[in-house]
Amino acid sequence: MDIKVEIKGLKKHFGKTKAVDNIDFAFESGNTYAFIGPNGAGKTTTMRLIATMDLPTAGDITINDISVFDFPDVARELIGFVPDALPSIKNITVHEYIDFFARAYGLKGKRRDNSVKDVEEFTGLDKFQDKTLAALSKGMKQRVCLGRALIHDPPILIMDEPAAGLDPRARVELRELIALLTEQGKAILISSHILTELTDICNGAIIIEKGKVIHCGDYESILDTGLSLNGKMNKNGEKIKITNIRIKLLHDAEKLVKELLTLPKIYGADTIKNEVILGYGGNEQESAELLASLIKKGYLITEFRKHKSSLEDAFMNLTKGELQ
Amino acid sequence: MLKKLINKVELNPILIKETRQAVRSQAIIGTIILFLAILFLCAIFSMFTGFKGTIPLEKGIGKDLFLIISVIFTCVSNIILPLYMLTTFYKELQHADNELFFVTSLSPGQIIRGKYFSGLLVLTLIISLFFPFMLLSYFLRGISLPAIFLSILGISICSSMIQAFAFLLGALSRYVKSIVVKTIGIAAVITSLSSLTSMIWNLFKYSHFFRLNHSVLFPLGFFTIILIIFSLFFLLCAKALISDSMTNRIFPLRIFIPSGIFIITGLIFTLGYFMKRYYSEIRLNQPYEILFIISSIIISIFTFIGFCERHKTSRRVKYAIPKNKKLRFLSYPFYSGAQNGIVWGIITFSILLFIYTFALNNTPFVSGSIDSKVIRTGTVFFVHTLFYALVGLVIYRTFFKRSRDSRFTGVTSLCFAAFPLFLCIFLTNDLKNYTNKPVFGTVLSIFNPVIFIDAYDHTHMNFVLIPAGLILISLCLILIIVNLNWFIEGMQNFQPLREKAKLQEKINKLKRKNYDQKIN
Repeated sequence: MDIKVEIKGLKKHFGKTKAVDNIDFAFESGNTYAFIGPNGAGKTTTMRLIATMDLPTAGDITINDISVFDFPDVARELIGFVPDALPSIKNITVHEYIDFFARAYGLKGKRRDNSVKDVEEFTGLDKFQDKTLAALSKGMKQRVCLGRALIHDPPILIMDEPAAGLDPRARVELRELIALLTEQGKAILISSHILTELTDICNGAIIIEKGKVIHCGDYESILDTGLSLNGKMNKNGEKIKITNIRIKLLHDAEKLVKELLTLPKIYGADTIKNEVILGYGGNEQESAELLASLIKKGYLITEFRKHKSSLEDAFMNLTKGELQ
Repeated sequence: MLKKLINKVELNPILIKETRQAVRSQAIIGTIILFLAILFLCAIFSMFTGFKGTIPLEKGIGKDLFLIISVIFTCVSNIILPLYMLTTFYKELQHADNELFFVTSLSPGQIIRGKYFSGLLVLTLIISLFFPFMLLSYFLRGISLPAIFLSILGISICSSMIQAFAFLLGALSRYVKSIVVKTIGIAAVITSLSSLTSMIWNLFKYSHFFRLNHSVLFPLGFFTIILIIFSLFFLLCAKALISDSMTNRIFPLRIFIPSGIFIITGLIFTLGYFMKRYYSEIRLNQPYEILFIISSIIISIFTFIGFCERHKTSRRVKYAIPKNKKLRFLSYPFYSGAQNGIVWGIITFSILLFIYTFALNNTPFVSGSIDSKVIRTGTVFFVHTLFYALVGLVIYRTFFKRSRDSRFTGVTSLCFAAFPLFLCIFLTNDLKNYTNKPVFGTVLSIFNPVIFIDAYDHTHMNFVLIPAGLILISLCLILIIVNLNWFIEGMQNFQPLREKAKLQEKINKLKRKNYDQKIN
């Protein structure tokens, strides 16, 4: 089933605070989008709006052209929401809790029993089904949240910090689980502060800061933004492909930066401790020649390698870390 | 066959969840055990002191034991249980946790029904725990079985009403700051309990309560109906408050409030007719008068709320507007919207006024005529509300439409209503002083229903009130004319969605696709 979720001119203001300020983006079936931004950027507010738990100040969110605010009942059947808050009910068992949500979503008879069983197995809750929620660890409660979001097999999944509080093993399992759900054709929007986790599972990312979308696109386009100099043009008006190179040396990093900036095809250089990162417009042959010339000049280089941009780089490059 | 039938019947999921939680709640179980232990000790004490041969019914020790049981039962069912319901509902509605409600496709009606019936189920469990002790009090003599059953019924109905009220308060917590709701909630429950307990004690003071007759059954029946209606009203309000604001959530309230008022009016008039036939010496008009005042207040409040509703009809509401012209015309007052609220209020109050002043007055249904002061008080209250609200609407639409929410109409109206009152108190410390002066009296009476109603006692004040009434009505008419364009615009916009069929098709497609995918 092809589902397209579109966020159009969405605004949510709390008094003078513009939690979400006129954002537009979209995601569809078979894709997992990372929703990243600093604290207070408006991620949770946006996710709550998509999950029909709040009303916007302006704008709309549509699922295949049906507004979620006009028809929340239709939207809720299609959305599975994993909030950042853990379940607060304590004196109820895991099985009863999942069963309650299955009933609440209108699953009946054998179909309900099978769904509850499947979800418990899928999330690894089957061994804990008779335990009360109060007796569960934070990670297990997180699984319960995931279980309840999956119980009605929704085509859209909105996950707000699903990996928070999970141990390394559980995180790996969660990654595998999300990959599996993406394969099943679900449209997934996932927020997390641990960006390395999102790198492996997401096809695209939406970066938000101070309630505004700074970048939205597939993974490659996001990574390109990590190379801050990309998009530069040469004299002929052609786009220059810039490679980031990381040079580790014993000393004289500052001196090297000054020298590098005088050389051709160097589009920028900066130091981090005894490391130099430069934007280089040459090919591999020219890179090798650059290395040889630097060694000849007496720089004690211990490492010279291409620096692959990560989601973290892109994030750091695009956001200013300003809080609101 | 039976198994298949059981499988087909699906219980409300909220009912199951809430009951499970309640019977495992330490607060509920702990309190019940504590009170049962106290009762057990009381019962043993009564057993040892009570049996002294044959004791006349009136002097039996059972009466005292039953009093203790009733007080404890009232505490558990009228304080502990509603408080528990209020706190669980309140917690679930808080910002961080409200996904419990709004993330599923459960309707607000299902949620409120499930919670309410769960409360009744727990109440039944509590009754079954207390019943053996009540039976023991019967064997210790001093109280009859019907009196025991009636007490259980009375306290249970009170409990169910307080529980319904607790849900209303819980639902209000979505809109009002938590600490305020908590304080009001606790104060309301304690007030209800104290008045109930005093009522029960007063009933027990009179020995005739222990032998049932018409003088007990009539007020009991009357109060039972009133309490049930109030419970329904609270539940409907709670349901409306937790509904999506885009929906026509006012619909059940606008349907059930007039229906409830007119059904009770009909019931009381019918009951009065029969009572009058058999007990001609009794003046039975008091219930009608109370009902008229209560109805006027309810209609006025909801007309006032109607003014504060969204001015723009949501697509969701438009989607539900009937296509048929006649049906659309009939359904207009029952849909959410400020204009619709005004029409609803005026129509409902006019019908009520017509019934009480013309249709039933001086008929075999009433003794003589209904006190004209009561009719005037209700009318004055409604007209003043209409006046304040219309003024608030003009101020909001002229100055604050862009910068403020439509609820600001209510704030403006209340400020407008309160200002002359405070001014009078500030200037003279006594409202009545001004009513004696024709000009001031007239001016203040326009703004203040208290002075208007109060001045009825002074016949010489008619020369103040008649112009005041005329000016008030004229001002209302002027305000209606000022708002006329806006009003007509609202009426014209009450149209179904043009692309309704297209939208319907899209929704069906989305639902069907989702269903097909799951089946596969």
